[in-house]
Amino acid sequence: MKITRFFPIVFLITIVLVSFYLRSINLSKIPYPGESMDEYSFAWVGLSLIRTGIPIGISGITGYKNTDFRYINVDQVFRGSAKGNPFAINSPWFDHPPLLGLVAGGFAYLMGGRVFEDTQVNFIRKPMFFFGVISVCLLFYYTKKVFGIKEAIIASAIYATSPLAIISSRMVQAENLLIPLFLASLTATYLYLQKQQGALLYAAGILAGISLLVKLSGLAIVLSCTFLILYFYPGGIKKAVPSVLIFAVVSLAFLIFFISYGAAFDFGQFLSIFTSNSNRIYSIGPLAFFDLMTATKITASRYLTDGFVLAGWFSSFLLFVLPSEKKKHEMYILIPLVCYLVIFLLFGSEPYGWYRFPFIPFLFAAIARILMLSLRNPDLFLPAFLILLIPAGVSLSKIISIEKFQELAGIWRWGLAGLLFIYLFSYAKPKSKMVKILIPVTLICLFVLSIYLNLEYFRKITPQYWQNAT
Amino acid sequence: MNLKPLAVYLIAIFTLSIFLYLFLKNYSSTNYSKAKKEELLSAPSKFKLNTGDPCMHSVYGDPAGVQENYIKINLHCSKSNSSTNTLALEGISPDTYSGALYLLANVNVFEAGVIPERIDKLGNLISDNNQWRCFIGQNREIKNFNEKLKQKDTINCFYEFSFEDVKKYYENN
Repeated sequence: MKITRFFPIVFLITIVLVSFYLRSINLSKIPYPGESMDEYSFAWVGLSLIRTGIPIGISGITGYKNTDFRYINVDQVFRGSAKGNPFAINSPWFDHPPLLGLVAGGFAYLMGGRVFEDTQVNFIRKPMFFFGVISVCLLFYYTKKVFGIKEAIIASAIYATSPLAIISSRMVQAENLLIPLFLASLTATYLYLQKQQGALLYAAGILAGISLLVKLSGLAIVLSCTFLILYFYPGGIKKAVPSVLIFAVVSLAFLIFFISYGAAFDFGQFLSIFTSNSNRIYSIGPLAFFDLMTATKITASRYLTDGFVLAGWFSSFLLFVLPSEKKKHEMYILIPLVCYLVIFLLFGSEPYGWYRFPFIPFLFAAIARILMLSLRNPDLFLPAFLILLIPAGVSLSKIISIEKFQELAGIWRWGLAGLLFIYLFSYAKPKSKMVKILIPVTLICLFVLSIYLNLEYFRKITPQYWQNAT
Repeated sequence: MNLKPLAVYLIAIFTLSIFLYLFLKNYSSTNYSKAKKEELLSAPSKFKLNTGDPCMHSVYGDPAGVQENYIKINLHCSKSNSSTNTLALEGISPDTYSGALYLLANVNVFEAGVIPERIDKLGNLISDNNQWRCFIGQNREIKNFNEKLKQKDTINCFYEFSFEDVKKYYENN
């Protein structure tokens, strides 16, 4: 038995351990408790459902009959993040479906929490921590299935070590449960398209349906799997229609649970809140897509610059236009990316950072694919190099000050200029031995450097650093 | 296309949704009460450690969107130890001076004892001989803590401050 067969397992175990370790650092300190009160609100919905059978949470959107204003000083939030406003408490709470609440609140209940003030981030972020690690594993598995082991290693290495991914994944936000459901459903869809087993189609549909009980933006998962089936089904669109219909029925049937849930408490209010939610102000505005690419927001007002996000968008654009030996396979990440973009732009609402989280795994998978394609295609050497330069430069700028950087400035500018000349030379003489060896080596080195810089950048992110995070 | 599994699936989903509806109806009618809801919202956490120092914490920041419907409570535990707090009126129940102090005690994790005529204690600072005295402005001492709050009231409570100390405070602030 070849020892190389164990390499994927060894790497996966390594990446799980690294993810586990990195995600556990300052889990309950960064982001600050109270930076998003949604975290507590979800837990309160779950805890109140368990204790009273009625969901109670923070809202304030129009449509609720009664609003109770309360100071609930969980985690001492009124000493800092929450300012002086009491929380607008509503019940029964219908802003979102209750599944995430049941997870977070249920976990708090298991830890001994019985009242709202008991739902400390120390408790309620723990399930999200596990979802984050699971998401890394699922991204590895999905990318391995779609492209191969090398892309899987690259994508999961970025996802495991990206400071943005690490910190964003620990927040008690619906998107952080949508991500593993998204990846799991896509994986089941992929396997269905390969094996044509009905059970896999039902599995994909059920996973997509469960996402609708987390947040209605889980519709992106339904859309993604639908379009993947239409695109990849053997025999074309006409033959795909029965599978699409089955998938759609299986997944959308879960909405009946949300409707039953609403009807059990107050159907009039349920509909009223649904209408209010649908008419939220479109605060993301026309700059939404530009912001998405250039501003890596993590909460309502805080940013954490991560060059891998912009690199991911550039990689995705390239993948749309590039011919490749597995061109169609790129659609396994591009279709979900665009489907979530549709939902993101359609739903709009406030420009909260957590609405962007589900883009992250697909952007990182796109970088992985571009990197691997570039190692085989000299035309991609320069674009891949420039794409990797973005995260390397961003992370470096966060690690050392511009004054200290002057010691490296000579190496940086002359090294970059030299490399860029070599890359340009590769267009003139693509078959040269120097090009064939040197350029892939520099790309791999730049990638490894980017991962190392990710780790160094993350090491700097202490609670004190977080106060001024940009 | 074999629709039998889909039909079975839909029947199962529909049955489960009815079960969910009945379960939630029954569970909430059995478990919900106003007292339980109130407990959820207002009971302090058992994981929280009370502090003996009522000036240890503050409620910083101005509440947004409340216009003038707020009050400020400043506790002066000594000349060098004070706590600054701003609270929105809509969160204070009952909306009296004692209601505000009890809310502050809950939020800032200290014990409070307030009777209509005076403060008995805030944290470990006992007031059996009027050591705690609270003022709205320099000349208006609060004598009845069951009085209703007014918009933009700034309540200053001093512990063991003499008249001259209080006067000096208002002259300097």
